[in-house]
Amino acid sequence: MSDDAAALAEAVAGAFLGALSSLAPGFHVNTLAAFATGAPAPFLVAAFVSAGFAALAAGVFLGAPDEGAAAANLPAHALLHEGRGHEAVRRLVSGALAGFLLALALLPLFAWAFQGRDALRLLSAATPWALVALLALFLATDGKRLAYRRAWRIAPAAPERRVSGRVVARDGAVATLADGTRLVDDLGWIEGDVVRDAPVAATRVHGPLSRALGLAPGLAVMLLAGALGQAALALGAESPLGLPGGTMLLPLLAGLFGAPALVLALGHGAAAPTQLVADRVPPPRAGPLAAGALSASLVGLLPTLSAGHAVAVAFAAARGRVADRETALAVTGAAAGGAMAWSVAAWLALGRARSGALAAAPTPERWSPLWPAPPDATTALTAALVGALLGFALARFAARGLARMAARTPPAALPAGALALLALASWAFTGAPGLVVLATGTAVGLLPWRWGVRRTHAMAALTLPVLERAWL
Amino acid sequence: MILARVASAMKLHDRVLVALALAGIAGLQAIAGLAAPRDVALEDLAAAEGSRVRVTGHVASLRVHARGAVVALVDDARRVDVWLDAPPEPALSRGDRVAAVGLAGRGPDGAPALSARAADLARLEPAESPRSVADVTARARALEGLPVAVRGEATRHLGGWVVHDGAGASLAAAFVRAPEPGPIEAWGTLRYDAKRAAYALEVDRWR
Repeated sequence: MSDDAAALAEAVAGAFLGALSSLAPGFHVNTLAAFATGAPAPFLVAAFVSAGFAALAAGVFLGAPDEGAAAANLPAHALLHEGRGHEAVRRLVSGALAGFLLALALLPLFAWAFQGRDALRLLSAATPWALVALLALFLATDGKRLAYRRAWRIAPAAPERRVSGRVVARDGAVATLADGTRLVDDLGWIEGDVVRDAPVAATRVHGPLSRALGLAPGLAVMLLAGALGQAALALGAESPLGLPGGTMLLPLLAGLFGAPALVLALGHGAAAPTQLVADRVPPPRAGPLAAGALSASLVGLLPTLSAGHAVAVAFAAARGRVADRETALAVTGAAAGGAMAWSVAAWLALGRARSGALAAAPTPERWSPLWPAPPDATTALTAALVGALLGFALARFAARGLARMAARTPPAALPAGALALLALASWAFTGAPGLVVLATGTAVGLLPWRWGVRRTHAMAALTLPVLERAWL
Repeated sequence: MILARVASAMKLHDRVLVALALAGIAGLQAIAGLAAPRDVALEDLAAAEGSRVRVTGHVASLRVHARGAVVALVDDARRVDVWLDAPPEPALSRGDRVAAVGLAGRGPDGAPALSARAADLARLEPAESPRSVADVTARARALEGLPVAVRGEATRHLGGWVVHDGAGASLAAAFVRAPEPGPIEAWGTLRYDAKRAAYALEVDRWR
């Protein structure tokens, strides 16, 4: 067999096993890479890319195995509960393939930009500051506002007390009485400017500090996740079964991003409705796709960022054009696909592995100068393309089976089984401390769902330890 | 006060989640503290047998074999073998100062040794990076026979050369080609000069 044919065979095998690793709850492509340390680069590159596609399908039906797939949860789960889970996967993976190919076309530009050592040095020096700026941006654009001012809401059904007075000011539904009492009248109860014995219940309303206080929940998630990441990554991972390649990243990311959706699904109680199989979905528009693919370049440039961050940036960039869930899914897919391509680019052009699977691969010859590209780069890009095409096909194929399974399985069985597998895998690879990390990560990971803030804030679990190493 | 108000503003489920998160983080930090390796000197390794420790020293030799590698570490008082599961990456040079975390035990010859993963051995200071004269003279026994780089002031002294730091520490140096007196960085091998009854640096190159 020639070298090219052997590399192609390795890439095909990697793509199949990578997709399988994402579809098995509790498993991750990094775990596969740990077992395959020293495997040829085409195998690991194709596995990494293919796993990213399959993770999008798994995230819709089984809970997200990592942060990139978790980013797609909200709109995808809304469609799942309308019986359109299969369509959600098709939209996600179509967006991902488009985003991947678009980013792949731009990779030579990336390699050219980072040919010189000076550019690399500049990037290294700027990385911590850029990460801080992005964390601040994600917090500031979360759009959360906190109601903090004491007020009373008109509540005829369950009054706590009765209020009387003269209305001296109105701001929307909030009326201010002469004695300073704020009264929320969203029922249209108040007639004229005098209130007599209105039945009210205690509530809180927004004020001038609501925007600033709205940063607190996101900041709290960041700090808790950062402290958890720092504590978890300081622990060495030792498998009680002697399995190779254990790392606390597995229970940490599974706890923060995978398990919370499963816990919530357990409590949801209702089975997913019968799932329709969507044979055709209209192609998404190019603008939002490009926004997703280009935003994903951040993942290549900066460590610890994920497709979820790229999605947040893409939504900000495509403001007003992501008006519906279908477009949101396409943008999310494009960001996830772009992130895979940019990760491969960073590995080839910067020598930085942004994924455990790429870190396990033999270090490639750095892609510099731009032309002629070294053989490593050509082989890796071909393997990535094979991984993308096979991952795309396998994710679509798996989505049909998962859609049937989701409708037939008792509502709690899938999430309970997936949670049990997550716990088993965490214990098998990292022992009892891994279970503590998984449980704590789940507690932290549930907070963004409950507080209505971005789940990407929890990626501070990796970002804050990186900043700590850079500055302390 | 503020924390109490924040806590009272949260719903019960949220308070439970935050409490669980804080307890988990505190527990993990406690586990990390308990599992953290103890720093021991090479000469005290025998007393720490069976426990997880961190040792530091200079690389005296590196032997790669089929199932890993053995790095001989030296400090001022002792030489100890560190048994690794794989050759260290990046490759080490003689004289590098390294730290290794592993399990204290005994080698096949019964001498105290450390068993460690290659990933748990870190180079702290390459042999190539120049040290102060005071540092080299203080660790002369550990560095004897190893490549050493020193930074100081070159001065003629009793027909030879010394490198000194201007604060009392000085080291005899043998140059193949005489340098200009003044600030210098010199690379060479540290030897014991029996004639002078002192350590001297056999300089290969300087700038």
